[in-house]
Amino acid sequence: MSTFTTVFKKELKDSLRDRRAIMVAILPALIAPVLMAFMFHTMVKTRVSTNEITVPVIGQENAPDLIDFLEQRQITIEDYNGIAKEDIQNEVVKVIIEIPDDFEENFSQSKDAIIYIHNDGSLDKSKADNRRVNRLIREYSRTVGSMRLMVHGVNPNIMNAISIKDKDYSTDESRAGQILAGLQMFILMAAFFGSAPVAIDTTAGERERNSLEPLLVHPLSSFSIMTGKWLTVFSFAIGATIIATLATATAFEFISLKAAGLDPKLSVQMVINIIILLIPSAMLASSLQMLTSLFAKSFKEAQSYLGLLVFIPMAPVMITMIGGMKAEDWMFNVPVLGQQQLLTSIMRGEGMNMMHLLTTSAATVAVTLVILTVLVKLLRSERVVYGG
Amino acid sequence: MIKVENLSKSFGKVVAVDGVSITAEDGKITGLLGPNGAGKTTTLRTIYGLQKPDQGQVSIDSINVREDLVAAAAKMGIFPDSIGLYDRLTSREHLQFYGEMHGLKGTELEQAIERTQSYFDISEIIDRKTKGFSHGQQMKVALSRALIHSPKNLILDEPTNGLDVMSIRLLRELLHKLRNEGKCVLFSSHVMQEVTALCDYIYIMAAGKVIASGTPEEICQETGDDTLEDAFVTLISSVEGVEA
Repeated sequence: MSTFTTVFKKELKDSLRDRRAIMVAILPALIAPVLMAFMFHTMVKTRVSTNEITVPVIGQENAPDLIDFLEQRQITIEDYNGIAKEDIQNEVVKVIIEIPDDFEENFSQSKDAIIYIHNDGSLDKSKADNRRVNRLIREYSRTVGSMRLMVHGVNPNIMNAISIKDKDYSTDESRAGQILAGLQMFILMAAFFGSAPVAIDTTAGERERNSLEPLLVHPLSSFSIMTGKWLTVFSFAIGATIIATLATATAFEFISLKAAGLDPKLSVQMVINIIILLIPSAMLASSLQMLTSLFAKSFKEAQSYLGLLVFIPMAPVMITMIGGMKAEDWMFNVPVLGQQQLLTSIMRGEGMNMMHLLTTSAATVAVTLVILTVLVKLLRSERVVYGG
Repeated sequence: MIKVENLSKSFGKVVAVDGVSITAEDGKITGLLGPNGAGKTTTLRTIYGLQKPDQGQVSIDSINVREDLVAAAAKMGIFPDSIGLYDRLTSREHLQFYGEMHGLKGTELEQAIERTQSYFDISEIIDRKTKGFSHGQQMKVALSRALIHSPKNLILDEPTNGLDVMSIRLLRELLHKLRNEGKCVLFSSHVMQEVTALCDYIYIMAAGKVIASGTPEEICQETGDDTLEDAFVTLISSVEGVEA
C-alpha cells in the first residue's frame, strides 16, 4: 500500500511547475522588505530633521533678534511673500513663520506677542520641521522671558516649578524593534500569502478541473491523501516564510538606519529563531487555507475567500498593536498573536522566551490538528466531491 | 464481481436511484443502459464509494464498499464521469502517480506503464504535458489510468463519449480481451450500438429503476422486438414520464 509520500511527491512536482504559484509565493517576499526598508528609511529621515533647513518667513524685519537666534541654529531664513495657505496645501513649502507687524511693539512692551506657524499637521514630512521651529521659538521665548525676570530682580527658576530630565534607557536594538513592527506583520503573513495558490490548487482547483473524483477512487486513505496535500501546501508556507525572513535580514544589511541612531540587524541566530517560531503558524496557515478553499466551488471563489480569511488570525494582532497593548500571558495562547509577540521580542534583540514559545507552538499545533482532522473527514464527503 | 443490492439514493426530493439491484459477473461485460438522467452515473458513483447510498449494499469481490473503501478501491479500475487530468504533468507522470497509488513501484510500475500505453497507442503523447490535449487524447489517458494496475473489476462511465472510431474499436477489442481473461467489466452507456456490440448482459434503467435485464436476446424476446433498439424504446415508453 502506498502512503502520503506518493501524493506529496506528485503535488510538489505539480505545484513547482505552476509558475504563477511560485511567483505569488516568492515575489511579495522579495519586494516587500525592500519597500518596507525604503519606507522606514524615509520615515527616519523625516522624523529626525537635524540638517540645515530653509524656512520662509513673512515679516522677518519685525523680529531681527529672533531671526538671528534661528540662523545660529541651522535654520536658513528666506523672505516670503506668497499666499501661505496655498503653498502649504500644495506642499510647495512645509512650514512658514509669520511675524505680524505689531510683533515688535507688543514684544518690546512685554505684551503677548504672537507668531504664526503655517503648516499642515496631516503631513508627516512637515511635522519634523514644524516641531523643530516650534521648539526653537519656545526656547527663544523662554530665554527672553528669563532675562526679563532677572531685570526685575526675580529668579527665573521660579517659572520652572518642575523640570523634567529625560532618562531614556531604550537600547538601540529596542528602538529599532519598534520600527521593525511593520516588518513583523509582513514576515508573519508570508506563510498565508505564499501558500494560498497551492492551498487553492490542491482543493478547489482539484475540483474545478474535475480531478478530485478520479483521485479519490484510488486505494489511498483520506488521511494519506490529505496529509500529502497538506505537506505540499506547508512546504510553500514555510518556504515563503524563510524567503521573507532572509529577504528582510538582507535588506537591513544594505539599508542603513544609522541616521536615526538605529542599526537594526537580524543575526543568523535571530533568523533561525524566527523560522523555528513560525513553523507552527505556517502549519496553521496551510490547513486553514485548505479548509476554506475546500468549500469553494472554483479557484476564483477560493481566492476571494482567502482574501478575507487572512483577517481572522490577524484581527487579534491588529487590535493589540493599535491598542498598544503590552505582552500578557494570555496572548501566547492565541495562535498567530503569540507568534507575533515573540517575533517582536526576537526582533528587538530580547531573545525568545522558551515557555512562551512552547505555549504558543502547542496552541497553534493543536488548532492545526483539529483542522486537519476536519479536512480528512470532509475529503470524501459528497459535499466536497460532488458539491451536493 | 460487483454486487449491488436494493440501492436507493435521493437528492432532496429527487429520487435518483430507487431500489436498484445489479450483479456484474466475472468474465462478462455488463452494460447499464438508459436515457439521460436514468440514474446510471449515481449508481456507478455509489459502487466506487464516493456517493453514500440512503439504502442498500455494494460489494466488490465480497468487500463491502462502505466498510472498507480502500480495500475495495484496490480491486477496481475506474473511468469516472470526469476525466480530470493535471495540466502540468505528462501522460507518463499521470500513469506513474496513479500506479504508485495502487502500490506499484520500480520495474513493476515501468512495465505497467509500457503495457498500458500500448492499449490505446498513446506512445506519441506519453511524454507530453496534458495541457492542450484533445478530448480524445485526454480520454485515452484517463482510460489508461483505470487500467494501470490490471484491475479485477473495471467500471466505466460512458467510456466512448467523444472517442473516434478507431479508438472505439480499440476499446471494444480491449474489453473483449479483458473479459476473456476473466475480468469483470461494468459500463454505462446511452449508445445502443455500443451496448449491442459489447455486452453479455444488460440492465436497462429508467427513472432510477431497473426496468429490464438479461442478455440482448432475452430482452428482445421479452418485448417481442427484433432489435435491441426497438426493445429499448418499447421498454422506456412503458415507463411513465420518460422520453426515450
